[in-house]
Amino acid sequence: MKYKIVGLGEFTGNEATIYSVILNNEDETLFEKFIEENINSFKDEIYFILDRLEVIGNETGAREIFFKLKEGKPGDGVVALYDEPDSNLRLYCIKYGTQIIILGGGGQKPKDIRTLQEDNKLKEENYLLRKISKEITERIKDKRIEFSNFGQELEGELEFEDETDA
Amino acid sequence: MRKKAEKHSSKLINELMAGRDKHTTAMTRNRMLLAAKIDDGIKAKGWGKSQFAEKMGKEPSVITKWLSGTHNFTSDRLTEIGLVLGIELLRVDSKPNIIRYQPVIVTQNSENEIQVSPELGMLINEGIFSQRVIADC
Repeated sequence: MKYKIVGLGEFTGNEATIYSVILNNEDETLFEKFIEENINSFKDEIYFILDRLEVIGNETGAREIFFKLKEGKPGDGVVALYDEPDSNLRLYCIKYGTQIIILGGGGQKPKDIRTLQEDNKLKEENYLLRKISKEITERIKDKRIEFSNFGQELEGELEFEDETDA
Repeated sequence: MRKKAEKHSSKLINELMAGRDKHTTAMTRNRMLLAAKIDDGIKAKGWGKSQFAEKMGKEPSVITKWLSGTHNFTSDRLTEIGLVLGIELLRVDSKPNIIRYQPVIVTQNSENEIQVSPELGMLINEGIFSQRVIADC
């Protein structure tokens, strides 16, 4: 699998930089796919997510209070954007402090499940972000990716390719 | 020089952003800004979420919901939170912008000259506008 981290100018502002991920040279990011998968059934919730991302990018930053934490492995930064209690959607992201978010995908959140592993779609999207987070962390440790602009941007080798594919 | 992330422009997102309902967008924004102000207030006190919950007489899960930026607070609740945290969440302490109205009497004398009492010019200068005009011709 190949993928790259790309910036989303629609939400990025003075308080946070919002990124998403493009897989295998596709045209769309994971976040756009999430929108397309859900816009017909949950249009209002999609608008709500767009509103929230705009405020995070421009006014509040990615404060912990706006996210459901610990959606991945300890310390990997995989979180979910908080939504209204009766909402249907779950959007996963990777959060670095209050200034960087990488938007992933997500899906419909069935009312009758306790853990994300009980739903194949949520599990798939969540585990993909866990993998991406792990690989970004490795590059940060190797200084192949660094935080710039006072922690508000990622710089460096932001394109990835599985060694088995290379 | 290290490479920055490529910028991705999305027609889909741009179209959706342009089609949002401005009232709903403003409501979402205000809920998030209030939550951020409360979050700042809790931190300024040196409290955690649990301590704040205790002070408010609520379960921590209720505080999590308040802080998620999705909650529609009542003005009474904001007053209560503001008192506990010692911060102003509702700006009602300053006087509202009051427009004063005062009746003026318009008369016409025998030489057909219009007279206004009190003097209209003075009232306008003071930001007071006529609401009721009594014609006495």
